[in-house]
Amino acid sequence: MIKPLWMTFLILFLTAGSAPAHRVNVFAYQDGDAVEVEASFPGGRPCVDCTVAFIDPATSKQIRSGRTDAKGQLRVPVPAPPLPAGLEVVLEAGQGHRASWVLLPEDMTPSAEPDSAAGLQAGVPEPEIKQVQTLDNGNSITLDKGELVTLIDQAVSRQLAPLKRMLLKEREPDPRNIVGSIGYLVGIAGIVAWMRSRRKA
Amino acid sequence: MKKILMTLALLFCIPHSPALAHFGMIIADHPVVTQDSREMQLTLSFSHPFAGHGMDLLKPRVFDVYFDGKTRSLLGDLEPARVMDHQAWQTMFPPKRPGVYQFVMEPQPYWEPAEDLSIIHYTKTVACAFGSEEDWDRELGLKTEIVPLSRPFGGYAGYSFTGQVKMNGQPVPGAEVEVEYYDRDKAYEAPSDVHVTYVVKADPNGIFTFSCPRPGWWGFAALNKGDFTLKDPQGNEKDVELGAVLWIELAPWTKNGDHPRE
Repeated sequence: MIKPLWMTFLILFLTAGSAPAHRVNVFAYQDGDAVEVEASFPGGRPCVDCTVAFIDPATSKQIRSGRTDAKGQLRVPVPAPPLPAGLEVVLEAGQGHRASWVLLPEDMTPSAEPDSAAGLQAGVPEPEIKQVQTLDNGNSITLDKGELVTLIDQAVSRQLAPLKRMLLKEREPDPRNIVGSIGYLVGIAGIVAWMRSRRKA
Repeated sequence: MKKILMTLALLFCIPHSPALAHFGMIIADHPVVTQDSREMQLTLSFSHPFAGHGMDLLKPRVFDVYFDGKTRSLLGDLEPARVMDHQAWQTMFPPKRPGVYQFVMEPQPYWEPAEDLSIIHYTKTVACAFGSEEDWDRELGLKTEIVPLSRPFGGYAGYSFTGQVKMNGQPVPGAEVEVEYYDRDKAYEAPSDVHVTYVVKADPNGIFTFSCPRPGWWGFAALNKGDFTLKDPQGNEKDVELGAVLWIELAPWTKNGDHPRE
């Protein structure tokens, strides 16, 4: 009687001890028009046939779900229309093994670029730097209104990205970042005003 | 006569004192990259890390990242920086995928007149991105290298680190490993010069263990005589000290709800 009890305790102890080492990882990135999800255990073994939920962080509502394949991967279309708060990817690997990855808005491009996997961290391209150079050279400006708007949109979204990220985390934004972002906005407004005055002249 | 001999012996010992050991350094601001810290700043320098004495680090010959069995040069990304008031180099590195990223610097040979030899420290640090820690023990096949036998990231103060010293892919029996704490804030004073650098010897398989008592960065430098010579500034062939250097960061024990990095 005593021996089986002792064994049971031993087994319970061993299984309980090994559970935390079974942490799971989930990673997601945009690849063309798709969101590619990869789920694995820390040693690199794939999480096979696990539930993946796709959640809009703004509303906490699940917008889609799926299951990982034999490689621990899952591919779903990029949400359309784009989600302003990004996309949370939640992996449920059973027995309380849960992990999540947030694709930030700046990680995702609504209209896919040819090499968006490589551009995951590159973010928005930086054409406006070239523009500054031509300004320095005193050459004429050859931007139409649409291009100008695009450039400003890109610059503003890039400068607001840290703010967005902080709002997402529901943390107090760093005052320095706020001041910095406002400074950029003022600077951009200045460039716009200056270009307008130049165009009139 | 005995006194004179003793004095001579002492004098002879002084140049071999391990105080103020040289260390190639690669320090990351976030060696464990999470979703909240998606990139890390890497700072490359050459110094006496405990004493806070810097030396100029010329632009390294090699600065590579090893990831997933592939190697990529980051030399072109390095920007000049200052560390301990001397020339250093810096770059931001955004890991694109989960996994283990090993950074390796091979500096230009440093002529050390006091030791009458050139020094080359093959310097390495290991970072982990987005929770994936596969391959943390991978040997890179450097000229000389400390191969980690305990995970070189994600540890706490008090952690015992075990590594294997290799040269040309072979274990170095009885290798001498110098250990120093990077006292970035110059917060600590050594009671004597001997306390600046700790020394541990490897076993016949080149394996050593050292327990790091404080949170922060700890450097391990296994120094061996190179199997080649280099010219000194006068053009004479002189010995080369080859260092296999590894830097690891240990976290403080932090109470619930009190994360210093956030």
